[in-house]
Amino acid sequence: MAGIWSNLCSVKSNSIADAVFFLMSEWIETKGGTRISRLAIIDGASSITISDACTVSAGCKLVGRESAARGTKPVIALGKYVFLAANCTLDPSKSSGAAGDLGECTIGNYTTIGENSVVKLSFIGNRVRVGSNCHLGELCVINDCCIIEDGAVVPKRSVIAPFSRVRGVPGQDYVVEELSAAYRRVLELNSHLCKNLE
Amino acid sequence: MYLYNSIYLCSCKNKTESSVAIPAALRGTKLTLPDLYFCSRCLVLRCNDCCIIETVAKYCVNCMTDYSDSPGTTRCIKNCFECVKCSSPLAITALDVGKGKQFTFNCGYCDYSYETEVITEPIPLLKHLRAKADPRFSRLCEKYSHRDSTTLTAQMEQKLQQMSLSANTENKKQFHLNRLGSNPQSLLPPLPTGKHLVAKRSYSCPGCNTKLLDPVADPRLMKYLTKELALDILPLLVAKVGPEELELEGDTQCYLSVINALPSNAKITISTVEKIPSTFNKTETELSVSLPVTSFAVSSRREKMGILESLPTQFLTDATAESRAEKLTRSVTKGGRYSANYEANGLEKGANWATVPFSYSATEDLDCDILPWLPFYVTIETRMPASMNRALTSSGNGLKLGFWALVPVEK
Repeated sequence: MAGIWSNLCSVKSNSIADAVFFLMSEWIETKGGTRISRLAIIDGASSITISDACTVSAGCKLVGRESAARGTKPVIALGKYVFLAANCTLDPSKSSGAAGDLGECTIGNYTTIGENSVVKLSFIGNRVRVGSNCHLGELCVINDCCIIEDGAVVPKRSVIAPFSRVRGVPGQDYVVEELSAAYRRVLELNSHLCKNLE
Repeated sequence: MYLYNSIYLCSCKNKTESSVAIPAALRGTKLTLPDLYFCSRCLVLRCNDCCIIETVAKYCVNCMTDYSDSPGTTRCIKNCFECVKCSSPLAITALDVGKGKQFTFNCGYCDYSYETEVITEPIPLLKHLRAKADPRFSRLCEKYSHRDSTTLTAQMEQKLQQMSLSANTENKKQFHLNRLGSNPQSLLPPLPTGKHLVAKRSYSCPGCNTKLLDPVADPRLMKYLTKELALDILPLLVAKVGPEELELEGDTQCYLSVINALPSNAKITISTVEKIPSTFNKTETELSVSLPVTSFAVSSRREKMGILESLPTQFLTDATAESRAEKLTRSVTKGGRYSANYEANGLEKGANWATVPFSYSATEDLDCDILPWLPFYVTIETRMPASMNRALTSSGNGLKLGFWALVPVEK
């Protein structure tokens, strides 16, 4: 009991809410193995679909606006084993389309998105690794088995072919390279390890 | 990325095949294990630089049009345009003006914009843009597009042949087409260009012409007919720095893990040079490495093995319940679920991996935040995998090969 009390005293804010939060686990876990941090911000939960074994880390922001026009179709859909690292943002609400015409942000299975990355209205395929501090513009399509290196910027409406590595910023050092077939397995393993170790 | 950070040296860059001296090429290479192929006939590693490359198909990734039957075409001829400044895709908008239409191209990333004249006839946009291009350049294109014409003199034919040969060599070096294109019409306002095509390529061994990677030609499919990957044969090497309390008299204690990818047990022998120069270890000082265990066996990889089961203990964390449980299971030396345990010499063996301790020390003061890269020469002795065509190989049922790897020490 003394240990818990000393831990409580170390909580920066003295509010009861903070103390209650401290006593709870950081993660909300589902039966399917999905973990969602209590510090993640999920806006419009009814328009977001999260599959089994996903991880949504602290500080992540999922902006899924609710719209009657869309019916049951989700604005954000995460496949299984998707790993969203701390402070990444999925924000499909900044659509350039007409008002009410909401786009989607679909992320395939075994995809990992790094810290502080921003994903706008996009389609990301299976087994994709998006590094940290990346920016994926609106209406981008990242096909299966791709690596977006740290700090890369994928411009609006880009279509990235399967088995590609993207790095750099357009107009400066933007390069799309071919990846070997071995990366299919490597990227899937990477997603599993992110889920099990982080 | 987890695990796959070590750099492996392809056989094309290690001509001397020396296991005593570090090959100079190890300094410049950046190839990790997934980037390499393994020729089961020559029993050597192959990389993109030394393979024979053939284009199986080329297509526009935007509209998925197949251009495989159009030799010489490198850009999409449909309405897929990219910015001449930053190679981002261009958005096209049409405006009705009188009886015609005016098209505007806008880049989604930079400030590039281009407006066409009012077009009154239904013609493809690319054709309209080509007509606007520098007529001298168009004439040149026209001239060289008829290279098979019988009007060419023998001297011109010879010159063209030379040009095409040099172009092919250049193409071999340039693996991807998605590079920023140059604009030949520097005096005219830059015109939008068609999107660069993407190629599907096959890779063959230069020694025996065996296909190492052969994709299906259909651009809509991601399947491969042949995959001879180094990842399936060579062991994975990972090094991790040990706990701080193990630091003794300037020596940094580390662990080197070897993960077996083969379905058969393997005998591993590891060695390194006595003094590792700063040019290889990526620090500013010379390092010496002490490797107490140099030869050991690693168990085979089983089918449907658990992810954490196949991971060395040093990589397990306390962040997730699964990882904590695995760590706890391994800490039980007797009656544990797995055979992972420590031997007297510090060797730890797991399901398909083994970890050996080693230490390094610097000749001068080294900042403890700077972690070095260490070169190791690894020899693997094992049974030939059933997947390999034994009839093609000359070494019977046994497989023995050595390779250099540059392993980063991770925290």
